[in-house]
Amino acid sequence: MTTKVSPYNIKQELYKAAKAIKLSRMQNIRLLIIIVAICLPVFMLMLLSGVLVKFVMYCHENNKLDFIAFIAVCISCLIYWPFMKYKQQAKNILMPFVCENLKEYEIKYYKDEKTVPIEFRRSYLHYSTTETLYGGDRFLLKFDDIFAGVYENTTFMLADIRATIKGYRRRKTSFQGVSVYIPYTNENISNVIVRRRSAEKPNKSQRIKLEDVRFEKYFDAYGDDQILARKLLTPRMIENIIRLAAIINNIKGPIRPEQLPEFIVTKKGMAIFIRSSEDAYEYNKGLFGKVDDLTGALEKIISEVKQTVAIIKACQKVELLDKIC
Amino acid sequence: MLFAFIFILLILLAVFYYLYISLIKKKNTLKNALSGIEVQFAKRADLIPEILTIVQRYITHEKNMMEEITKLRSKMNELKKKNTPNAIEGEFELSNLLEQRMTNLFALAENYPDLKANKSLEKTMDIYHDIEENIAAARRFYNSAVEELNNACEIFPSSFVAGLINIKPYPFFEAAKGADKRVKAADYIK
Repeated sequence: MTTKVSPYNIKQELYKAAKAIKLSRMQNIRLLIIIVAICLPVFMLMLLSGVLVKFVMYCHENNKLDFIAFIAVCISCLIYWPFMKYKQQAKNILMPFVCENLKEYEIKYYKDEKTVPIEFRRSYLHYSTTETLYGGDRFLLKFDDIFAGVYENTTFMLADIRATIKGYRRRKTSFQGVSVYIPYTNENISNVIVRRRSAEKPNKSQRIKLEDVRFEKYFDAYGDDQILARKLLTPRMIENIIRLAAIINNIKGPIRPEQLPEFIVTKKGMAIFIRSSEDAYEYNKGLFGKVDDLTGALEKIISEVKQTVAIIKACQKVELLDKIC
Repeated sequence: MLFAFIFILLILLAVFYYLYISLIKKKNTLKNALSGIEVQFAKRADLIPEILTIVQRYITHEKNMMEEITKLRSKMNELKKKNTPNAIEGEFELSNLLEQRMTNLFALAENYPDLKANKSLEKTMDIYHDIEENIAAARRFYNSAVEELNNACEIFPSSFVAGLINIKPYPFFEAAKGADKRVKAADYIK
């Protein structure tokens, strides 16, 4: 899906933005050079004088190889820092354009969860996902590039999410993708989780076995209360979820089970999660990439936001929100 | 030889115990589902007199229908005390009948503008429909539990264990026959 940037800002504004990004690029390249200029001679000096070999041997004999790994990670982070900084700075410059071009959704951008308004943070980031989907402190959740807006009277939030399981020596990624959150208040419904088959079972939830064979083929439903969960997951609702899954699959490309949407319905809001191996809403040019034309990068982010907003449109189309909100 | 015999016996005992636990779990899930239905039935039974009191003020010549609803309600209360599969089946049939009669009553109320505009009736009808939705959800939970228990009761080897500990298949709670048909209020005004 390609999206055309509206003509109002094309020339002048983008030119200014490109200039700002170029400036940031130069600063970060300079920073990278300084880091390399400091690290490389130190490394070479240590290597030539034999200190490095002695240090490695010492760590090896005293079983302290973890320490070497730690230093290697620190150096990598130091080198990676200018790349990250540049990407964030470029995004900070580009995002006002994205918001301006998506005026119809009243889009606002927040770079991470710390900058999100408190009402969203309480209901969405902490309550809905951490508590309901992952059951307390088992998981680490990271939210990036959060967009809040309104689509045809439906308030929503989009975010790029990564959930990692705690307790592993190497952290295992449990979920990576985008989420759409629709806040509301409905005291008459209980927590219901619909996950694709083979995903982890959420803590403290009972499995709700439903009678629809197609639903059971792709999804597992969980809830706090067997009856209240079924009151929400009526045959019609199940049909709507299947239809929505088909629509979302078409939006995201060919049908693949790993791309099936997952849902959480709580008293405070509904969240839809879609897995993706790519980071969404990112500036796609690296530190050494050319920044003459920003239109492509802008169109990419706008198109990704629009694709995610299309999920809300699909929800409205299949009347999924009618019973809940 | 003796060791082999003891070994086989132990394995059989373990299998028996596993099947026994699984059956008891399924039966308890079913009881849980059944109690969910009973709770909703009780709520509906408490609400019906209120609805009838309001309706009777406006519809005086439909005494038969009202009496039938009252009778069905009290019959259901009687059956509730017996907890056998047959009694449960009877209770479900009565429940379907009661649901049909109540639908007919509401359809009839549509023809009385004063009654239709009555706020109390509107409120109680909303509560009634909410309870009916709960019953539908509870029925689906119950049927899912019945399916699991009945499968275990009818498929070998768990059927053998079920026979030994006297666990019998339970009846499904099916939707009322013709529940999807449109109600003709005119039939009741004759």
